[in-house]
Amino acid sequence: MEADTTTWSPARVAALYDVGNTWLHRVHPLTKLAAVLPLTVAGFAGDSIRVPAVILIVAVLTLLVSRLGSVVLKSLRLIAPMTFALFVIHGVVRPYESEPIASWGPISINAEGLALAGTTAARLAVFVIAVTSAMTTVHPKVFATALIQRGVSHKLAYAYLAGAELLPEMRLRASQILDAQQSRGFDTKGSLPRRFRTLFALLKPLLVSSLIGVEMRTLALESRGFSRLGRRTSAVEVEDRGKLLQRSLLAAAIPLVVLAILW
Amino acid sequence: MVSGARGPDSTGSRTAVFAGFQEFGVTYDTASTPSLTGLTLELHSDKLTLITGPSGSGKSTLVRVLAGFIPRLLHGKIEGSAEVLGNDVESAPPNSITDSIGMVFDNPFDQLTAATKTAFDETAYALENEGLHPAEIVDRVMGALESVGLADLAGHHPRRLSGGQSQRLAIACALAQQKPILVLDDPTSQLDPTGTAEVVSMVGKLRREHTTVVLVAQDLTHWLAIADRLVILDGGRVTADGSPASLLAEPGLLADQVMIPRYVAIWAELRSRGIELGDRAPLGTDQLLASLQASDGAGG
Amino acid sequence: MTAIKDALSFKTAFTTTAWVLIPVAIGINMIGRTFTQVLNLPLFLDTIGTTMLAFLAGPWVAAVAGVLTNLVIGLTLEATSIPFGIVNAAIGIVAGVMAARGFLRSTGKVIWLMVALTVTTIVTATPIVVLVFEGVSGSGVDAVTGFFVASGQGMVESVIGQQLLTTPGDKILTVLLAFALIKGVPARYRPPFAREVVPF
Ligand SMILES: Nc1ncnc2c1ncn2[C@@H]1O[C@H](COP(=O)(O)OP(=O)(O)O)[C@@H](O)[C@H]1O
Ligand SMILES: [Mg+2]
Repeated sequence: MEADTTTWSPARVAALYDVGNTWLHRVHPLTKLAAVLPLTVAGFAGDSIRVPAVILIVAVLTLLVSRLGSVVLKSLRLIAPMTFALFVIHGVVRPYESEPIASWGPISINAEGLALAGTTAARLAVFVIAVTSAMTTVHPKVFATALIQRGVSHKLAYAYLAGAELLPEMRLRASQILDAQQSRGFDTKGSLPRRFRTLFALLKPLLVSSLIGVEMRTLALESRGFSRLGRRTSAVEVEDRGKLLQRSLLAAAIPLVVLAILW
Repeated sequence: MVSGARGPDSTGSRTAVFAGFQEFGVTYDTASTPSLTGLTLELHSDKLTLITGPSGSGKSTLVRVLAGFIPRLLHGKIEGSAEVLGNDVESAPPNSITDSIGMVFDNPFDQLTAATKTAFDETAYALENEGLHPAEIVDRVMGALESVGLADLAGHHPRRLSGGQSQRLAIACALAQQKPILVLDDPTSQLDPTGTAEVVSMVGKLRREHTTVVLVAQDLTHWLAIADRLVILDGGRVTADGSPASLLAEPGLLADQVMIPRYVAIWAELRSRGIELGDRAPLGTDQLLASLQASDGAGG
Repeated sequence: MTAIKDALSFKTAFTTTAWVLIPVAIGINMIGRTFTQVLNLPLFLDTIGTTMLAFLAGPWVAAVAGVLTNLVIGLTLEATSIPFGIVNAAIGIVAGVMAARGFLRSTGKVIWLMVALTVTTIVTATPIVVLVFEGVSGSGVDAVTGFFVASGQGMVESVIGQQLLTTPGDKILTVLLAFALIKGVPARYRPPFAREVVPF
């Protein structure tokens, strides 16, 4: 049975996952994850922007054609502030021996710096877009099931899934507490250490109660066979396929390094 | 201290003992004084045993022993002996007890795995750990959710359920595992009246289906009517044990240890003023009304 | 003492309680981040959960929480956080090992712990920031790095300089906040390791 994923609000669960049925959704989750390695390695291996740029252009076009524009947007949102910082630090701020290509007063722009910033941004974008593509198109439970099928400890999978649930949950509750405080004009009063202490005092009960709840959850998990030995199954059937492809993708990282360096 | 008004067998037909405690004591590793001491008790299958007592009297500790958590997971020094389903709690192999006892705790949310996105997945979790076939998991999960009235909410996020729904989900998890015994540790203490009513009627239904239930409750109001037996703990030992109607016949003697339901208090008050209401305490407002009407009819 | 030994051994450290604590630590790490973002502080405070878990359950459990924090954030929110899992894990290991060695027992020793965590962060984070990200993080501290770069420092020196300015405060607060949290949890709810290494 496919887990029903339509009833919980995405605002609460700030996961990358988007419900959908594109060709990428149908690719085995570990194939998508395995593809991150060769792509990233190829992007980082060469000296120039050429390799990552080609990968990026192909990736973005493919995503757009596949109606996965949301992946591009999510990646862009993450990569934009870094790209900005890269261009400022390397293109503008950093002193160079070579002549600037443009300058206004103390600010000058250097070609060498721009190239480095561009290359780095493109490399990071390749990695970000690869991960985001993979994780936008796999339900977390399917992902965990696929990992357990390949021998990842079900306990580790538990910690991952629970972390992925608790993280947005705690963040939401924390920002509710903090927002409520700020909307009372809290931000403007008191010195920084004072504000800090007040805010921490507000958050502490949330954190402490989550720690106290650990005892009960431990017992509840035990009661549900967490420590039981033996094989696990999953209510979500994930076909165990593509092992050869996944291994090939991981192995492809090696020749790709060589190629990218030579190119 | 009220001695056992009548033995546990006063409740009717003889049934099998599934758990026995002999002069049993527990001192948690993190505590200096025992939480249970000199406790002797037998629990019977196909009954609803209601356990009550003041806060800190050892109710949770008792059911944690019963569920196989003490001393294996929560460590402590054990005295005397306790046996659950033929296993000594100190030497039982891991899971031998937990596999047979379904456990529902008081906090509706802390007892969830926190790792699932739907009520369905939450209920399926234990079955996945058992390695059952996916088709059987789906069958059992839907059956369990159906029987606690949550089938429609199978796709809902567990954190978005109400307290009462969440407790029913916890019950469904135990039902899906087909455990023969259900232990509930004050399952309505953190619920609003609606949630309480949901859980009470759920447990009542399980009783009618002959599930063995051990239920801890500090507030007895909703439970007396379906309890076969009432056990009172105080200071880590059993201070009274018998049928609810006869134990509560002298509520004044229990006032220190038990939150006396209003209908019992009214019954006792009227009786002390000379109104003839019989010597068995009412187990609900309906019973109080019935006996009032009966005495009315007799008097008028 | 057996509790310390158990927590230091990879075989015995991962109790069910440890597995349940790991996602809670991940959530606490996240709250630290939210907190600094709300207050607009040039800090991260994103290892409070890991540090606290190191005091509660030892180095290995904390290291797993560290790696998983960045994996969870990386795979559900921001892919770029994945490489920094190494930093988070290293903090867990150093904090846990020092806790086991009695470094929580006196103020003087706790200061050494703060120093060690600062050094650990700088040593593990600098190569990642320089080699993978060419010096940037996409957050407020980039301004500090930019300042060093503008003054003619090399990339490595600039990143180290930036970290020398921001990390000590971050780690001092992290350790203090981890203590404050543990203090809020009654002793009976603390795992055995914590009962031996945490002095209150
Ligand atoms: N894990 C624990 N560690 C130490 N002491 C505990 C623990 N759990 C309960 N206690 C103590 O044992 C006594 C009985 O507690 P408990 O069984 O929870 O009682 P009840 O459920 O009747 O309120 C109390 O004094 C309580 O403080
Ligand atoms: Mg209790």
